[in-house]
Amino acid sequence: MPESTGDRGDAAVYRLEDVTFRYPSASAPALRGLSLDFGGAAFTVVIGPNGAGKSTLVRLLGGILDPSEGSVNLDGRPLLSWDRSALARRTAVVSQDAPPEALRVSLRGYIELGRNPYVSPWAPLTPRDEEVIGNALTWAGLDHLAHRPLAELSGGERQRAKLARAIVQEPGVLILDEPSAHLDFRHALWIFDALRERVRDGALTVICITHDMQLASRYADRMILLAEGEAVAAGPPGEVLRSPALASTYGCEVRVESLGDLGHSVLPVRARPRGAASGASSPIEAR
Amino acid sequence: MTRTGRGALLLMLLLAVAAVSGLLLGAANVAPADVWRALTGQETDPSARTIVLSLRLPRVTAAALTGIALTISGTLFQALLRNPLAEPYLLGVSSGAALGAVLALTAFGGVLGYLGTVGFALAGGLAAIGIVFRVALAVGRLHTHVLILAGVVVSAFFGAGVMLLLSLAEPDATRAAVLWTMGSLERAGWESTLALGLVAVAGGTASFALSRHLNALALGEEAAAYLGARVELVRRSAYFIASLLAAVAVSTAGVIGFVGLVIPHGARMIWGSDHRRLLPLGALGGAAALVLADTVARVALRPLELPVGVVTALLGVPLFLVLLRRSYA
Repeated sequence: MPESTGDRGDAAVYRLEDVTFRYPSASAPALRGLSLDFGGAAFTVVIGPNGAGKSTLVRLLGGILDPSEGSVNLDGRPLLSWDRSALARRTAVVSQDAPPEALRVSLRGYIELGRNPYVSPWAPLTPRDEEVIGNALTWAGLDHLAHRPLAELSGGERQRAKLARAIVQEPGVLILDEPSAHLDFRHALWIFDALRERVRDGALTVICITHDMQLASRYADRMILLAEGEAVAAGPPGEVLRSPALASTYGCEVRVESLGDLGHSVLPVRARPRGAASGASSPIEAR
Repeated sequence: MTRTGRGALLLMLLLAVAAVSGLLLGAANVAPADVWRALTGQETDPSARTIVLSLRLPRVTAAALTGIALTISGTLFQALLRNPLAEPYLLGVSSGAALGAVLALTAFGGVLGYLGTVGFALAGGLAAIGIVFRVALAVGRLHTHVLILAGVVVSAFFGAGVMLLLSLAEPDATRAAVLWTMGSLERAGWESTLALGLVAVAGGTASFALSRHLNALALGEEAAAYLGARVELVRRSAYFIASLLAAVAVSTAGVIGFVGLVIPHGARMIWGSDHRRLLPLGALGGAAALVLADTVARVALRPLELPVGVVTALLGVPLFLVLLRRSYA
């Protein structure tokens, strides 16, 4: 087994300090002065309108982008100093893009890619690798499809396969970029249930970007609202959804209702005219 | 037995059959018994001995190694560009090598001999790669579209150089140069075969070491990075290996088309996208295909010899079309 850095399920895993990120050709930074902690066995959702910097945040946490200013630390070490495969054993990222149609691989072969950070091309998979892959297939309810070509699976099955591939990395932190986009109720619910269960077992820190506020508020421990690259609200989902920042961020009057165990429903009422929104109110320190 | 195991066995059998027929058949008639005696070092007719050991054996070996080099090169290019139309000569290697070879054959006449031509071709191929990569890397990160554009343009430039030399050359030299560009293993000897073998083995080993990362790369560069690949390093290494293999293959055997495009693609259709299977099985298939094609090139219109590149296309295209139809039906 490769060494694991830091204890699984430990507190403060990721620490962002005053992070600003600017794409080379862009005039405005995508993220500005962002200070956030992610850790413990907690389920955090990040919400925010399109262009708020959510996907940029994913790339920063995944080590694909380096901050222009500030620092990103993982387990107390700068993310920059992490070896790529060590990082892939600690953090798994489920991004938005679908696996290419031309890929000729079985579902099992696809999930096996998640073992890449652990195995060499020269040796066959160990019994332990096989076990991890088998467990992930069972967990995702995909046992019966293991030998089917990936291209033949439905959108919902493929999304579960992506999740299983990430779980096979045995990560301490799982980052997801809109995992329930384009999915029907049943598959979306399954994904959030499955994630919640793993977090509850103390096995995983989840950072999830989503537009589905009802599911987010139902399952998350904490919600962060991003607007124009800044965290304008953070805290328990109910509080964030009721904060005035939500309406001004989205430029839209909203009605928020508590649904008890089912979280909150957020109904858009009417769009505010452009410019009428009082801007992204005062950014709060989101810790 | 697994599908992969059956495939490997079948391809090894095919390669064996191809190699045996390559040793038995040729412009001259040599009895199978004499071929056997020559190979096993027993007493035999000296001319049969020379034909088998100095002509046919190095030629069969060179054909197999060229097939391996071109197939691995094509497999890498297709993985890197995520495009089944990518082929070994994409980055201008073939026109660079052609310019080197044509320069050796026309400007220097026959003075340089076969090895001299190979050396010039290799220098030309490497020069083309060098220019293409310098341009593509000047923008920082290795950008695929810059790389391909640079390849196309450099290719056109070297191609113009070839035309220029041919238009000025003597008819005899022109004929030799044109034949070279069609691809031939006619003059493959042990020296060039040894060099080819070393590069093919090194390149094959290095590509296999990258195989898991190449698999991840099929999901996109970002996804591959999240799966632990140092994407930029993997891409640069793979481009370099692929280009070097193509340069060495083209300098010993001329421009043999089709093998590096179709064998990797066919292997992917049959055995799937996993490079740990694709690389070795493709290499076996490429070796068998080229040995077979070269044998046909030698005996089809005996004693006249066809350019092997013509045979690979004439035999390969129909086969490939059948495969394509069945695979997507």
